[in-house]
Amino acid sequence: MNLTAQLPILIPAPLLVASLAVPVVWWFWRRTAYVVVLAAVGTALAASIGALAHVVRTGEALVYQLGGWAPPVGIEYVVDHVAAYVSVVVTGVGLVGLVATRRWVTSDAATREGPFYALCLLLLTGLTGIVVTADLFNVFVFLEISSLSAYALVFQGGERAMVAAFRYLILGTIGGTFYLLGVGFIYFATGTLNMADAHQIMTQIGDSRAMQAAAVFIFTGMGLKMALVPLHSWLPDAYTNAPSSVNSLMAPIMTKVMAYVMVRMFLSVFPDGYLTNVLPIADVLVVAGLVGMAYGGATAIGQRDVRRMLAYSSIGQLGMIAVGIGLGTPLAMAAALLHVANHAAMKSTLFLAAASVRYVTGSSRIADFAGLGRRMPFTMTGFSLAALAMVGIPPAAGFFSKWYLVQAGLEQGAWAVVAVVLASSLLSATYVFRILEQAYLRPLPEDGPGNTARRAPRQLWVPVLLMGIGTVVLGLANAAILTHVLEPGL
Amino acid sequence: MTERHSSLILHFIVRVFMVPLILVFAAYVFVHGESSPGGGFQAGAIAASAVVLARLTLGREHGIRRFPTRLLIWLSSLGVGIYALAGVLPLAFGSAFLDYDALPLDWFNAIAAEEHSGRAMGIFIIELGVFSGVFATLVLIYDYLTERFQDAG
Amino acid sequence: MLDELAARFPYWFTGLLMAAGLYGMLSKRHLVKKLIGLNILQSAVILFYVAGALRDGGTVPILLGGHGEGGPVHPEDYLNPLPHVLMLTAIVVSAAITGVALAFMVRIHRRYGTMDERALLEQVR
Repeated sequence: MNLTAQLPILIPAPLLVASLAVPVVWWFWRRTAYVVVLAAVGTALAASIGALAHVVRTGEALVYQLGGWAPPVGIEYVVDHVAAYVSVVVTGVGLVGLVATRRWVTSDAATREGPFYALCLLLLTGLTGIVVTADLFNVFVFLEISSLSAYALVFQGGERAMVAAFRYLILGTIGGTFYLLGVGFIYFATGTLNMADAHQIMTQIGDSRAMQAAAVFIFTGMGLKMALVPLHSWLPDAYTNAPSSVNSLMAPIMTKVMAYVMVRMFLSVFPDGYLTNVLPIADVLVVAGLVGMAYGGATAIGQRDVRRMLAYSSIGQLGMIAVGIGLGTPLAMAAALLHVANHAAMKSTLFLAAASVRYVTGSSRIADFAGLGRRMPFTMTGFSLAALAMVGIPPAAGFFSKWYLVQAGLEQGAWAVVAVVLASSLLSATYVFRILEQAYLRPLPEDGPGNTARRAPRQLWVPVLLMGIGTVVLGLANAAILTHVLEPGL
Repeated sequence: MTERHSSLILHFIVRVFMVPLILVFAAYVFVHGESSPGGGFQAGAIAASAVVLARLTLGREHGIRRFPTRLLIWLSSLGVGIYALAGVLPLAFGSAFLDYDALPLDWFNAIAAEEHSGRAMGIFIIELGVFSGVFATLVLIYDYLTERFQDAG
Repeated sequence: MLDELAARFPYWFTGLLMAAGLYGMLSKRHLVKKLIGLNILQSAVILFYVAGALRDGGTVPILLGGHGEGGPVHPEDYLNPLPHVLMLTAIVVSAAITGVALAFMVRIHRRYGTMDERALLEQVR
């Protein structure tokens, strides 16, 4: 087999092996462990980019059979346009998060570097595994790998994080178990676990009560994992109390991958149009997404802690992704997937900036951002760029996904979507400008925590600034992504 | 629970009959794992029960001298390492992930009396990893649990 | 009505167990009780899979005595082994989750001295 054919396995496998190797390497050589981490994530990113390039060039998906067992008996990995794209996003944000947090990775975590990096790598293993696999049960296994490491990572955030992590564990496990039950219904209705096979058989046998149960359970479970309103209650506490480095790694990609599972269900598991026309799942997604956008945006305005504000804003943005998936047209689906990348870049920047501020000033209250525009100019520039992108100011990243979503809403005559997307931009503007006002217009208080002796080191602001510029570049590249990657894939 | 029992009969039976017998049975279950019910997990659990039995009757100190905690940690890590390597190694031989057919294991057929396919031998390596991991982890769990008792009393 | 119940017995039983588990997880205040509810929920799904693999008169999927030497050789004589294998994985996952949750609880108990959720939330605020 040549290297191209091996690309699908080269995405999750290096991460898995490295997650086992890192604690051992770290035990003997402290510094080498970090090199192993970077090498593994770098390999995964390179493999994802290679797969994406191959898929875009040839227009055909990469298919990989584990252990040489042909499907439907064996487990199959399929990297098509969408999977390669999401995989690049996941590994890219993972690499950025691990590089940018190098200096303070365990500064506010109750653990040491070796086990911590092992958990981070396991999280990435699970997430990339979900993306590349084409086997329904394998998705469950990777889902639980990523969730278990996420619970453990959130738990490291100190005293308050303990209870949040336990609640996250309870609700996350309900989600995973519901997904497993749904897969059971699909298996007993079709006799297969391979996605393409199940799609074909379900298209032939038509609607049945087992399929309805499967759809309801899978989407409820994934809704829980994705923090779709009204199943979001674990997210704010978990994101607020998790260690900063976990936030900037987990918040941008974890819930997006769960959204990707929903996209997979629409595209390649359930029969075409089944979830839109036969069952009202798509409508439920749209309504839940719209409510989520309004609720997340409105609640974010009232928060005092910047991390909590970003968590609620995540709920709003996830609502937007759900709306895109629920509208179901190729354009809307493309807008949702585009927003997966855009939101990952923006949230990564924002959480990194918030973590830098927290590292320097020791506080993440919005009131303590006063005067930071002059105190930490580069960090706040990066923060502002990403924040403006989230409002949807062109040409930054957030604008285009909103624009395409509005277009898709207009095509379908869904005026509520158009109205709520526009209103949610206003809400984002409100909570974002609250911080920018504090940072740039307020003077630095004499005795505030922003006035400590510590200056922001270069390792802190360079990644944030680069990511901030990156959101603008990503925004400019959005049109190209849409025409070359997403439109052929949907 | 953690101290040494004083009964001579108990010592004799455990040392001469029980522990060797259980270990031999574990070996039997282990080598038959790839073609009949049994295998690494079961064998590991059985072998661990022998070691735990020795610790229960001959005392914790004695047991730890024979199987130190450090060695057990190494064994359990080694098990996971074998497990992962067996999956990844076929990639190096130009085949698919987990495709044990590609592993150069023909020499093993020369040693074993009968012909085995590469897949069966690959599973055997996996079983080795599972055995090592399960055995060491079960004994470790026992050790850590009894450590608490010792602290308390 | 009764026939319907009897014919779909595994479904009703799964539903009952799931309801019991969810009730335990969402309404009990003690963390250990929540965890027990979680385990009941997972067992419900495991039993659902195992019940789905059931076949009247089927036997264990092992080739007894080889081909032509007696014993069943046709697939229809056997129970479907795949759901059992899947559930082995699911049991491992559920054991891992239980282990992680218990570790969390030990730490929470050491720090706060209570396992009651309401008391915990009051202390966290």
